[in-house]
Amino acid sequence: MAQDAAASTVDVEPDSASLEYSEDDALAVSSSGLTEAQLDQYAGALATEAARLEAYHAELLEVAARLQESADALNAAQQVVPASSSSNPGKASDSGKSSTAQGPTKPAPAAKPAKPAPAAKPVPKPAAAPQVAAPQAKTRGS
Amino acid sequence: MRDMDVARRDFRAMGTTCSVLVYAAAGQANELARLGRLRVELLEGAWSRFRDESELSRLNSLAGTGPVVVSPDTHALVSAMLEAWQATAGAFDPTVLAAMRAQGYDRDFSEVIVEQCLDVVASPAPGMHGVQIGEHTVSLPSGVGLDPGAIGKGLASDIVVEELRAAGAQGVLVDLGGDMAFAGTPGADRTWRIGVVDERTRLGRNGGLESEQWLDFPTGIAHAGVATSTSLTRRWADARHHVLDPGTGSSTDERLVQATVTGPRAWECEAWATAVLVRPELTQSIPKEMTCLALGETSLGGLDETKVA
Repeated sequence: MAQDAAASTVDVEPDSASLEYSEDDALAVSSSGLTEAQLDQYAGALATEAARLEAYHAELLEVAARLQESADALNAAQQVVPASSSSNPGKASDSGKSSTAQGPTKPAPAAKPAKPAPAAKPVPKPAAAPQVAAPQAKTRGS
Repeated sequence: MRDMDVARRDFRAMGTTCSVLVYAAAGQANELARLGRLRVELLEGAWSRFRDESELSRLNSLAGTGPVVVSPDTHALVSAMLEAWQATAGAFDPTVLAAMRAQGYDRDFSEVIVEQCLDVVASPAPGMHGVQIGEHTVSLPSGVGLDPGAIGKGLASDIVVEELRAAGAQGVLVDLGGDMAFAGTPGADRTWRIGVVDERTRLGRNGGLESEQWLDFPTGIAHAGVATSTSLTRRWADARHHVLDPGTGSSTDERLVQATVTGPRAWECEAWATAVLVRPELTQSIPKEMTCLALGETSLGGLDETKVA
């Protein structure tokens, strides 16, 4: 889980900056020149961000579960459709197409992309299109 | 037949206008769009270079101190930066942070003081030669700072699209200031249609594209990105702009003024869009699965438009 991984980032790792202590032990100073308090502050900030991310993933999982329940209910309803309904080829075809096109795919657990995976297929080359529909978005200079 | 909901959230984040568009069944589109916005804001909190407490700012402040433990998101960001820097032979270089600050762009652009830093001496970016990435750590050499710039917006849009799709959304588009990713199905029998804004026309310059360009992508696409970089916006002081040539640390010479790139991942698109503004000859080196529309503006007002298949 992403949140688990994120939470683990606050743990001290063997290769992270080590701590050294001043002679009077009054102020811990890391090899980076940062005080122990500063390092603690950094770890605390990471932990806070990890907690927020965890909350986000939990909410996302809830939505995914609701979508899955809805999809399951739809599938169950389709299974009890009388056989006579499917005897109309055109209607059955349309229904199947709609279900395939619009029903959600089985939701996976909340995503935790350490890095977005490359798309399996190459992106089609864009082409100028006739003015038939409003765009979903516009790209502009950033 | 299942009803399909559509929800859209427009908001400001990452110093720009953002939009999350979700198509989903079972009345969940609005909730997913809300979560998409939340995720963008979480990523902004981690990656903003204008917030001292952000994870990226802390990482930059620890340059030269050895490996620093980072979150998976920031690990992905730095990995993308390194990959893009290598792929573009350094034309895309996120280590322009110091140069960017020296040029006066050291705060949110809306607060940049145009009279500032007119006498600064530009210096080349150090590059990512010494950046080391461990399993959970990043090590920056002394003097190296990372500017997430637009690649952060591209990667953020990739992440949010992927996560919302994994949660069950039928179609998702995340637009972060013109850098966008999208996937799935935008309702019934529709294509993803993306307009390309010609900044030359928008700014009233002579000779912009006569009409908007439209990019159409087939419905059900696995994941795609579109990104545009331009030197015609975010300008200040004496004609400076935010697209820096890492070789000099100064704004590019503007042989090209705008580039739009499409491809499988938005962050890659953004990196290449920036790279071709820095080195226009790189339009011939763009990976075959990507496309580029590059616009130039000569000193005489002539135009050059390059389409790369």
